[in-house]
Amino acid sequence: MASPAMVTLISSDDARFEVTEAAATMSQTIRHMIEDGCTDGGIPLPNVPARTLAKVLEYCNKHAAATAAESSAAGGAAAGSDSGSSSSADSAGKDDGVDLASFDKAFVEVDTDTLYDLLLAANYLDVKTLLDLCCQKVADMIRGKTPEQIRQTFGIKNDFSPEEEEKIRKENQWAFE
Amino acid sequence: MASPCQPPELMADLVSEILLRLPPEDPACLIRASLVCKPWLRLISDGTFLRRYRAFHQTPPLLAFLANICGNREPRFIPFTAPTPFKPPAFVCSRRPAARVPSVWDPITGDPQVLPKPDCRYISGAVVLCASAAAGCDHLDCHGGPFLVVCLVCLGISPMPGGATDARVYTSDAGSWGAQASVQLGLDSLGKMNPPVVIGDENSKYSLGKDAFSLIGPPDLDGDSEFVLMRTEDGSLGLAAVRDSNLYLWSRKVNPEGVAGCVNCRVINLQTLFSIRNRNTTSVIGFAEGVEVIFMSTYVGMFAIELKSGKVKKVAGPEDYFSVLPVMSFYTPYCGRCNHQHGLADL
Repeated sequence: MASPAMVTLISSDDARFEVTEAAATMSQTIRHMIEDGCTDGGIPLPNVPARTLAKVLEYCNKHAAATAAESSAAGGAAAGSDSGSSSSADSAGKDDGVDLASFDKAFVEVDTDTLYDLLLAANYLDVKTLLDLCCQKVADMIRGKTPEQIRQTFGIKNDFSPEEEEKIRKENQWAFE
Repeated sequence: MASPCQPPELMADLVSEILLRLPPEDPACLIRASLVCKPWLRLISDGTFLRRYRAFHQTPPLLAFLANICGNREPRFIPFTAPTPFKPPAFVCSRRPAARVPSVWDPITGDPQVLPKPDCRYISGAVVLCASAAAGCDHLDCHGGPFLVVCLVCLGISPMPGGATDARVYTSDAGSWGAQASVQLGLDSLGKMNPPVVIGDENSKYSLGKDAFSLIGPPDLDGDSEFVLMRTEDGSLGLAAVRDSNLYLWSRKVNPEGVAGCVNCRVINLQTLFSIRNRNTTSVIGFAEGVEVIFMSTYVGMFAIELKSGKVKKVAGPEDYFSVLPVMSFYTPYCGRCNHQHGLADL
């Protein structure tokens, strides 16, 4: 079997990462750059520092490998469908799904700064599933918090006057009880 | 200490992606988020965002339900979320129990709307529908829009065995009662009444498009069980009933010969969900479509069962409930605006 095509990514602080094309092209931004032939000497990603890029690539490698395993399992099941091997391929697929879900859950168990960096990188690199994951994590963090706790967690300045704030609270008293 | 503040311009387009994912079944969190800062408030009160929010989540959450109690008693309005935007004492649902004037009440805006009286003595069941359903409405943005009310009516004082049940359709656009249809009830069909559209052991189904009634042959189940209509996972019409400590779910299918019948698609052992000693008093009284919640009345209280997860929640104390009407809607800062003197978007 031929070795997989590799690409080199260059972070904002000039660190070089060599990854499979399958992992790199989970990013639509990188996919477009490859399609446009901008890969000579590595793909520069001036908005993403090495620390964040390493983390994003950890996610992409895991998911690209899972996708590859899934498609080869599906192919194997089709080839050996008369021998009952399809059921074992099915269960392998399910295990991968559980595995991936717990990987995702653990992946975003990070401090707020790291989560912010991941969010920005996923948005810039256009990795849809990672962006979904990070946005959902931030939404989960917001869910049980008061407005003041949300501001503190995410470093947001309160630009309401005390009167304005009081008015909204009064009109929606039930939500603050 | 607060985390370092990110440049707002970097976050602006991401904030809506994040707030979009706040869960509609906890309506307070969008309201609290709107008080974080003015840009968040503007976003959350913006019609475009709210349309996206509804489209993203698709299924409106179960916010509350109205429980009808036997014996001409006032129905109870019971919130399903905590905290809840509804204040039960503010909702007087049957101020004129004797007058029998049909009225439509919107729990989100609190607006009551009294309808003209249809030409009948007795309304045995009614259901409110979106008037644009036939035009392919996805019901994500039709709250407060034109509606239809389909009523089952009896021309006599009360439903009689062997008598006729009529349907009347009210259209809010015309402001009057229009289409009519009639069905003859069987002699033994008076046993149980379970509004809105289920009568006795023969279940009547009213077809809007055809202005026609049809009777659905009930599933084969011993005894006089009460049935509740439901929508099954595959979108077909279903029925639910309790027998011998089991909850039976049927799906209505048409066989190759073109004959419709009920196929049992699931049996849930109720004793594994909650311990019920006196199983004769257990009945199924309602279904919330989309969130797939079944309401059951037992001698220890009312329970809501999530069919997908099997989760059971006690939602009310014991009463002689006979039906439940779920209130399912997105509650967003915008939608309650009729109740407030000043919209949030003023700021």
